[in-house]
Amino acid sequence: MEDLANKVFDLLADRPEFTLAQVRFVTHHEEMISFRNGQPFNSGRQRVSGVGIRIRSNNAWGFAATDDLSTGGILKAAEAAWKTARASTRVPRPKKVDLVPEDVYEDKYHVRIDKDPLKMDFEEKAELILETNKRTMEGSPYVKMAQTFYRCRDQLVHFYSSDGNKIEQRIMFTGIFINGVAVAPPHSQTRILQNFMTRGWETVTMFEPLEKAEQVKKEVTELVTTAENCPKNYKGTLILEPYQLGLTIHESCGHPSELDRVLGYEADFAGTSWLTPDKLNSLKYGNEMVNITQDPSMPDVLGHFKYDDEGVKARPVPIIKEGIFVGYESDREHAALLGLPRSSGNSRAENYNHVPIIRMNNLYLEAPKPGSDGAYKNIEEMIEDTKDGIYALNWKSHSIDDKRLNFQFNTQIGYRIENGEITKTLRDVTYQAITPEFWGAVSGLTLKTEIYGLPYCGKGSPVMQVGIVSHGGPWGRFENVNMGITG
Amino acid sequence: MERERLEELANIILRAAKSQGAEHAQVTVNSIVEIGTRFGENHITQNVYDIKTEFTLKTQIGQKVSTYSGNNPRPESIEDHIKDALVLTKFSGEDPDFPGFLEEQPKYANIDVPMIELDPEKIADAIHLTVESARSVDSKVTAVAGNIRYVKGFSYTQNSYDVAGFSKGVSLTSVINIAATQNEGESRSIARLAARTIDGLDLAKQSELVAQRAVQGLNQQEMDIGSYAAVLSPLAVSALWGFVVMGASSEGLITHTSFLKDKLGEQIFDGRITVKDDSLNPAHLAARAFDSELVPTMPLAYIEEGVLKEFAYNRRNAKKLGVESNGRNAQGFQGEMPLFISNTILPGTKSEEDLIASVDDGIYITNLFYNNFVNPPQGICTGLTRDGLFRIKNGEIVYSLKNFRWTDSLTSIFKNAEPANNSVQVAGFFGGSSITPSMLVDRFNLTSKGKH
Repeated sequence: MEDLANKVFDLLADRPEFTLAQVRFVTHHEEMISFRNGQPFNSGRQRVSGVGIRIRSNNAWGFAATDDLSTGGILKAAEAAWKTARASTRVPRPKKVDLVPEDVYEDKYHVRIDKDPLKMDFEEKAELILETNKRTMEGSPYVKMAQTFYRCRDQLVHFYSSDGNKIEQRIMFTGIFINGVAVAPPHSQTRILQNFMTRGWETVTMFEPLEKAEQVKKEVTELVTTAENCPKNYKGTLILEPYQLGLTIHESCGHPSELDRVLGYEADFAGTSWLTPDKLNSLKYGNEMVNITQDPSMPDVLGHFKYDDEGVKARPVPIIKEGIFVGYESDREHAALLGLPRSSGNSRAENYNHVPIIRMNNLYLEAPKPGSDGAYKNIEEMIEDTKDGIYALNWKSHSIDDKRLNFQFNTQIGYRIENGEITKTLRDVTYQAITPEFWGAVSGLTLKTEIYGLPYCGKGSPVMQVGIVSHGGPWGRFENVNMGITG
Repeated sequence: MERERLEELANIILRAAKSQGAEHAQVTVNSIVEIGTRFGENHITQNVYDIKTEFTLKTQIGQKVSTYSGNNPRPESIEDHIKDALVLTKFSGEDPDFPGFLEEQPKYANIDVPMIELDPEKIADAIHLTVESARSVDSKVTAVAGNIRYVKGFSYTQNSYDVAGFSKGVSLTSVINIAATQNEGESRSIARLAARTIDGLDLAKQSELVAQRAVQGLNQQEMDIGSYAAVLSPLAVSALWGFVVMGASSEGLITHTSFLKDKLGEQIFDGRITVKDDSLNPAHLAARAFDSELVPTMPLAYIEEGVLKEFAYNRRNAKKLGVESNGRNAQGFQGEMPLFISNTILPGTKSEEDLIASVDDGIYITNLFYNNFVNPPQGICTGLTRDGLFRIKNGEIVYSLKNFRWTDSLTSIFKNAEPANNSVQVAGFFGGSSITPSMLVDRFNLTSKGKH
């Protein structure tokens, strides 16, 4: 492959105003084994491979992809990439931009895989998924639909650039999804437990799927039988567990700090951002308990990698530090546009035929310092110290405006807390807030943390790419939050 | 020429599947050329050219079935693909709901679509025109963003009973998003366009209209939350209608998640609303003569005068629910789902201006953003206004408003609703487009204030 990449570089080297070429070979293998109500449903495999060639010339980018990996096919794609780069200059960026510098790397990195799902015995996988699916329904007259699937995606990427990068990176992710829908008119409720990690089959077994199936069954049954509706228009204390807190981080911190949308380059799809450059290093995003960091170098989590798709090495980057907005998610071009010294390493592409764009990776809320104000050992201790409030768990739906200020979530299950104790189970706990007001009202965080993987983040246009990210941190408590919005 | 190439590949794949143990199989081979050009802040930012041949193969052994997808199927690589596909099928459990593949060749309607050629230079020139047209409207127009996507595709599907279908088409979509600024205040507006030719997008005119709306949206004022009469633009109606389409999928009947479950034959919306899945209309980008199971996809009015007449079925769901498929299956790697994807909401008799004139106290909504179900079985959704929200008083638009979050049930929104006669084709509707008029609804529930 290196030879083929060099042929691309040789082809372009003497072209006028050529500055950089990046050649990215991808072999992508994916498997999903799925059961619904004890029967196979929508199981599938996918195997695709190809090359994406990105060229920078005269202050503009061009990109072309092909699945024809012959020398002729690749050189044809290189010509197409050159042609698109030249076409881009017909409506040019007015300001000359030099990409921020990054060291050049020669490296080979594979994520940790104890048990490769794509090489293991098929029946072993199918049996566990089927048994998990059956357990989600068995014994409950109320669970009418149970769907369970395992999914594994294995991507082997060879990245070469005309400035000398030679990086082989294998990123596999694996995960499991357990869903139960219970019906007891007039109620129909859903409960989902899931996790995805950049690991092998061990991700599934570590999740303890049979126990989780029992939990889904028990809780979704409770939701349609003994649970109460969330109090309408309730304003008060809200506690979120790390999964739901992670989604809140994703929508209210992750997306608005993407530098492409901040600078107006996502306006046609996802919107812009309230975190404008004049606010960097001065805006009070939340109170001093709020420290949000991205760190794709953290192993095992879904947002993990060693190099992004421009060859920038992964490292921790603070986004919010003691409540102050201090960092953007960037790539080499957008960092240069803002005068930042280095890319934060957020450039990623879904597959060989996707152009790299700024994506979240592993973004999480940090645990408090032990002994600091509002620090609790765990959720039990936090609940004991909460006089009146609601504890809400797991995503049911989400919505946030185009600048990422007004958000509303619905959660799968909630609990009423009165005088430090859980007193009842609640269904349809919605919460709505304005981003800085919400993060300014943190009153407690646990020392215990958890990170969850979400393989479904959509961004980019006119072809939307699906990104894999991870989020979480401690359990968090927030004051004066609007809940119980039903319309 | 391309049909013959795809047909030959399909037959090689089907033969290989049979020789490796599949009792029956169905394959779809797609050949696609795609150009996607994106712009922001008045210049091109991304330019993507993609050429590929991809296939989806479904293999059956008894009642065991699975789906495999791959790309670049060359004779020398097909055996490996098939081996990988059949491992999954052989070890899958029996699926009693799998209906098998279609055994008799239906007759399909012909959908005639012009096969135009475009290249990155022509698209760049169209973007230049778009940007300059917007900037010519007003000096307050500061930033033009958007994209143009050109897709030329050929698709051939065949199963081992020799039932086959071929389709081809070119689709063009464009988004134009324009910002106007004044005294540090910003306003944006948008268009989502769909056509079969670049001229059909009418970019210069549409860009001017969007720029005018962006300027009109400056100096937003505050308003209280509450329930208001609202005139929804075609874009806003299309955004809401996506949730009706999800409710009208038979999938929701099986998963117990549809708010339209048990509503067949009932008056669910205003009697002035009739909606057709206009599958053979070539204007619709997702027009199709047959679905991914090779079942004919005939036009179907699934809501007539506000009454729910039909759900979208594929063969699997139809078998399970004891009805016939109406050819609405859509196949993806992570599953298949029947959907009505070529929606035409029939126009009313009044113009949008007449509808606005009939409102004493209400709002005009240009676009709805990040809409989502809050509770699918109840049809309650939430989202935000975007790209121009305006106050209507005494039959006139009087000023622009800051955005709001809305939360409401679909049956409530469309209970008293009157379509206008200004049908517009809106892109971005389940990978295709909708043809949608503006609509006056007597109540639209704004539940919290936005900050801009």
